[in-house]
Amino acid sequence: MRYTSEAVERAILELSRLPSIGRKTAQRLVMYLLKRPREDVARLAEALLALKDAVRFCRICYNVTDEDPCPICTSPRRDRSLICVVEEPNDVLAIERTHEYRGLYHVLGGLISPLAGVGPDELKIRELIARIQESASRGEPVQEVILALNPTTEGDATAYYLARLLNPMGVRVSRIARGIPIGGELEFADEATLLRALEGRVTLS
Amino acid sequence: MSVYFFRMRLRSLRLRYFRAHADSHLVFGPGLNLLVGPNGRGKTNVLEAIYVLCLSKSFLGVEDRHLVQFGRPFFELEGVFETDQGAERTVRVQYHPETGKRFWINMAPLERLADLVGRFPVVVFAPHDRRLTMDGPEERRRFLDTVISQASPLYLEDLLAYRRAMRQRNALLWAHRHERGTAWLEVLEPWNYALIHYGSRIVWRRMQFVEAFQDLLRRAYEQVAQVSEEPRIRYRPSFALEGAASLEEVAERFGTALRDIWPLERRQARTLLGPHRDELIFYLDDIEVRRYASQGQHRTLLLALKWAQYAYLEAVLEERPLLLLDDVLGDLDAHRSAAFLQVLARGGFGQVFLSATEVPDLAETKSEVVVLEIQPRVQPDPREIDHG
Repeated sequence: MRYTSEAVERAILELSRLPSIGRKTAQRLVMYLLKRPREDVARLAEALLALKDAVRFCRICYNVTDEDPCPICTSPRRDRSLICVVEEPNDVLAIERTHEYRGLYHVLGGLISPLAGVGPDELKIRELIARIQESASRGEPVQEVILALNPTTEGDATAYYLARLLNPMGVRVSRIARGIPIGGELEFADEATLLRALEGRVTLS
Repeated sequence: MSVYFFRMRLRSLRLRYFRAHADSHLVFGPGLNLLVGPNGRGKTNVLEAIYVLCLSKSFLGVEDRHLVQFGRPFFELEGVFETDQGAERTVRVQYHPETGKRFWINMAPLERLADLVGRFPVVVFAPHDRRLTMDGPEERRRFLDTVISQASPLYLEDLLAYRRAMRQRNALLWAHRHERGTAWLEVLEPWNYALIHYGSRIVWRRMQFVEAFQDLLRRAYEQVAQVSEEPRIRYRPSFALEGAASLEEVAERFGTALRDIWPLERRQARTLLGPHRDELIFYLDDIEVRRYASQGQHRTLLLALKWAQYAYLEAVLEERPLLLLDDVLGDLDAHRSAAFLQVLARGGFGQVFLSATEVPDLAETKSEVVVLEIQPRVQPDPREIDHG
């Protein structure tokens, strides 16, 4: 069924283009917005436009930022010999929440996936290489690259690709371990996670 | 020596809009359960439903949407499993064309379907299984995967990752099929790595499985065959494995073979080696079953394969799988069918579900037998209501 108002129909269509929003959810959102005062809706519209107008990508790490370069890349308190490579800006947020990691980041913008038409050139991989080379010529070389990529087939392949590029450059390359979530008790971990954790066990001495 | 087997049984099952069942509720006994009723009334569907609850899909290779009763919007199954220690697991599955298939165990949503496999081990024996010894290698690979996945959750993980890596690699080969340069080969490298990494883990597992299974099959065949033939299985991977004695060596052989076949892969633009091209060959006294065995030999071997599958899972999991037998008596004469029922009733199996068109003669069986009449209420077709 289509709505008699073209504006309603258009709003539903646009909202249902968003990930994880189906037509029914879009209808509910549109009906909700219709009932809100005009200034509420204007605030939402402005916030959305500001995303494209104000937010930019950091020219060093490709994280989203309002100022370029981003505050993390310019912070004097950060360890510049350490780069953590992640898939998306959300992953930076996740690692920042630990308040433990003091190095820099590099946001790839995805993972290698031929099925999705994403090759190394579509990702910020060349930029990562250039960044490491440049750090060496500046006299504060990157010592270690931590690959914090998801434990999927694409994550594995991307990590392998990066390791092959980075190893000849004399940089230590590591990948985050996979295992049991904290607070998740062993008893409740699914068997596959548990077995992977067993495979990746570390020696105590 | 007596071995303790952990016991898990299905206490009850509810089927809603599932195949022939609009709304059925069945309560099962701990031993032999006979599902009796005329053909076309949904006996097999009950077995299918149990299989879906255990392994997330039908054993008939039917797509989920075809499991929904005709004209209905969704299906839902709920099974209550119970261990001999009194723990209860309620497994609920709901399928809707829009939201797909979702599982809950004790009300908690299951995030990945793969996490279900192996929790409720199951062995099925249905007319459909004839393909296992008669048809192409795909059926036998499915057999390997169904058994090993239930015994080892990591195998299933590796299998899913392998399929993914292969699809990615094929996409890449296809996209560059006309390219003359070699620069793109650098991009292929990570997919070669993923293919070899996951593929060799699968091959290694299959090797070990076949070795362990050999003996179980021999013993099962002895029990079901009247003649003394010796069954043997040969596992033939798509690349030469001779002498590989460790996972690392398997990976090495795979890598070498992949390099050798490269010109052909390049031309055909798809992955030509790996576990997706493996073959499993059955022999009876060195005669290849698929080509030369008689109908009777096929039947006997199939039964032995199923018994051995049961024994394998039982030994590895230290738990008795559910045994689903679909219309197996139909193939047997009265004498053999009585003998078959005796084997079942003699014990050694946990919970058994057997479908039949009529109640067989159970005079000699001592164990507890539950007979369930499967005759779902006939409900008016929803289309007729619409036009009413």
